[in-house]
Amino acid sequence: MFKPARMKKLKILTLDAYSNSVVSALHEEEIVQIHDISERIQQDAEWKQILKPSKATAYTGKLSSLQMKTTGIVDFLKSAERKEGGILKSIVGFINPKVPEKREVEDLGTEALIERAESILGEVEGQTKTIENKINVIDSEKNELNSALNIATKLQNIDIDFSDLEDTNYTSAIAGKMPSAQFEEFKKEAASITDQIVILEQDAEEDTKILIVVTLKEYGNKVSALLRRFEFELYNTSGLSGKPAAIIQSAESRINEIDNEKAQLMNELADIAGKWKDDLLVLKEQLDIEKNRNEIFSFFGETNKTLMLEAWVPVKKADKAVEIIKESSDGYSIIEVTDPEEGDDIPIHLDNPRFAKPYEMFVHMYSPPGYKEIDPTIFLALMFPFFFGFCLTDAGYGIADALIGIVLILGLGKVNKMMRNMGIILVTGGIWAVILGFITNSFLGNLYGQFIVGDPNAAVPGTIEAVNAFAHPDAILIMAITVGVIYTIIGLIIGARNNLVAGKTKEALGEQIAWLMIFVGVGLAAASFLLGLSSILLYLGGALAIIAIIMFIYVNGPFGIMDLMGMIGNILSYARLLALGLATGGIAMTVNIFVGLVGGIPYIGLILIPIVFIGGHIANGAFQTFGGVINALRLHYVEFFGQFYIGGSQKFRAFRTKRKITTLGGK
Amino acid sequence: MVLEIGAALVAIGAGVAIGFAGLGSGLGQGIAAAGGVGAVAEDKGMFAQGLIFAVLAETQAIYGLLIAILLMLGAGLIGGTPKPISVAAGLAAVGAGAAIGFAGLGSGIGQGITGASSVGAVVEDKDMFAQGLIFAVLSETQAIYGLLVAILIMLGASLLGA
Repeated sequence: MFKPARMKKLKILTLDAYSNSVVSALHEEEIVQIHDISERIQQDAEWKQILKPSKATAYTGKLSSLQMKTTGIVDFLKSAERKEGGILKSIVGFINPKVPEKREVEDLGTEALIERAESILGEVEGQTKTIENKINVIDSEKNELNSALNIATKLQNIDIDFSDLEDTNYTSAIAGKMPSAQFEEFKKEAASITDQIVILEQDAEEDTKILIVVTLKEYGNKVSALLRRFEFELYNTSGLSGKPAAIIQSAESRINEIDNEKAQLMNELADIAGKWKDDLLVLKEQLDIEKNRNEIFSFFGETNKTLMLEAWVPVKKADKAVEIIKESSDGYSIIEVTDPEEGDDIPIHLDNPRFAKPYEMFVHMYSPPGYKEIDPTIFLALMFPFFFGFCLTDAGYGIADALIGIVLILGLGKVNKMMRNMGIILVTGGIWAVILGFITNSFLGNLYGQFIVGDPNAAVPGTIEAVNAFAHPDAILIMAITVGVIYTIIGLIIGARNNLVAGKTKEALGEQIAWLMIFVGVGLAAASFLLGLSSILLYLGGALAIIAIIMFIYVNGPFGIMDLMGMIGNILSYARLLALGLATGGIAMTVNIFVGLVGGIPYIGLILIPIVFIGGHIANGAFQTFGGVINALRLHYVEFFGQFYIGGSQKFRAFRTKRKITTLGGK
Repeated sequence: MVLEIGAALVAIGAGVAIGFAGLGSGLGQGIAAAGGVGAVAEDKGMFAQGLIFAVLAETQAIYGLLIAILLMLGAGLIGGTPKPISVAAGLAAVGAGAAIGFAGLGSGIGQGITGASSVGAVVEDKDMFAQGLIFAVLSETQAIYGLLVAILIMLGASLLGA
């Protein structure tokens, strides 16, 4: 809490004979991050004498190709699966998704798994390949038929057998389309080439003419060149025979047959998909895990008989890691557990109480903290929902967000951790929006007053008059600024602590402590002035502020005073809490006014009222919720983190099997 | 019905509010959407992200619309009969409209420029989405200041929801 998890470094040396079992045990336990030592072996002369870099195992390539093949077959069979349900099914799937049942599998070892994969894929391909080939053949036939159908349809009004359009020893024939406006000009120029030419014409759509031009072979090329100049679109009739009507009829009939054949083949594929899908998905997951396990060897070092690896592990799990390494190597291993050394790039594992866990993703989105830095997740967990609620400040939208959050937690949250976290964030933020909405008089804007009581200015029950948003926005502004000052002070305290821990006393004095003194000084003076307290406080506050400013200028130089504007800007930025809150209520009120206006239209008004009301409030609620998330996040990233946060570390990534649909026997 | 000069000034204020805020929003949204179109051409999966960055710059127009409607309501130009508004209050309304209108103009364009760059960054690296969003939201501060000042002016001139 307040700091990333303490880490230990494991240095493990084991016999080759146990390397697979050690790596597998660590992979399944998912508590260590493997550290790549191959580069150090190359660069460190001392290490280079003892070790050589290890390589990914020889099975990696084979596993990779089997993995790709499995993915290809799974995707192919997925496309043939029978689709069930419609929109309703999708909604039910969202609200109550099916949690996949994990299938128990055994650790086969690489060779046995490859053998099993080859056998399964061979069997599935044996069944699918013939069908796939048949589908390809009929698809290609259908394409040809469609093309013939297309040409025949265009030429259907010309009574000619397509076989007559084949070039002969003495004649050349061309069929196609030309803009009608150019036809006469073409005829004239064609006549100047030769009078041994026959032109059949037929009016077609969009001011064009279908033409069939037959001429002596010797003029064929010249006529073709002439046609190109007149925007002539050539119809390819080669290979076609019979009259257009007959071609259309036979093509349509064959296309129907093909569609039926294809439906039957797809049905057979759907049966195969239903039979093999689960087995293939399990196989895919096993191959993924095995490949990942075989690849990790490239991070290690080796001698002729031993394997050396390094890993990071959180202190709390270090004993467990040592225990499983010893167990999986039958004690034939040397394990050294050390603290991180100076210059180590320590991976950051955030370790927060359960309520704050969902907010770790926001910290990771910015950048994980340094190993010795304060982890701000708890502050985010406490203040993000409040800021979100403050930006929204509407009980109606708050209830809607909280309900969506509950649906996410109980629905997709069962299968997706991120969705669960989003659900928790929406529920907590929504609750704050409800609280703040009720006390500041906003429930879908002024819905209560306008439509229930009949007086647009009537306040929602529970409103605290002193903070009624539209009557006293100044009070809410003071609230927002006060929150900003308090949160900035917390940020400055953390920043001062970070600098002092890092031995940067001068920075702590100039960048944080001077500001804290200014805040205290101004606070004391303001209390004395506004609350009529002893004037000693006024002088004391003034003196403190002056000392702080001198200290500030001494550390940061005269231009450091420019930071004053930055600090004022930071605090004023919290005024967005008021502005956004008022905007939510104001736009909701606008929607209500429109509802009132369309309600006045006779008859049609009755249809328009629900459309404007529901559409308007959904749009406003969604937009303001989105804005609430973004602005609450921004107040943390820019205004709060700016006081102390450095970040830039790498995230702890455990060597994990990522088992979603399988479970290892006995685990 | 004769419109008094005070109410007419309020109407100008409302026009300035939505007119300039809408101008900024429209330009900003256009710039961001242009980036989005390019991104979608590169990667079809970028549609949702591109849309989010393009939609961001819409907020300024919404703030402008809000102030315009609140002004019109305050002067009884909608939802009732025009109320007597003094010339001074009318001029204050023009000030309120200018506050959000011009703040929205600059903020909207700025946000659009950042939005377009952010879309480009996300095409290169999907993890840039959150950071891009935060950079794009920075420009919105100016519109929020404008909105705040407009509300305070209206409050001071008794134009808010009266």
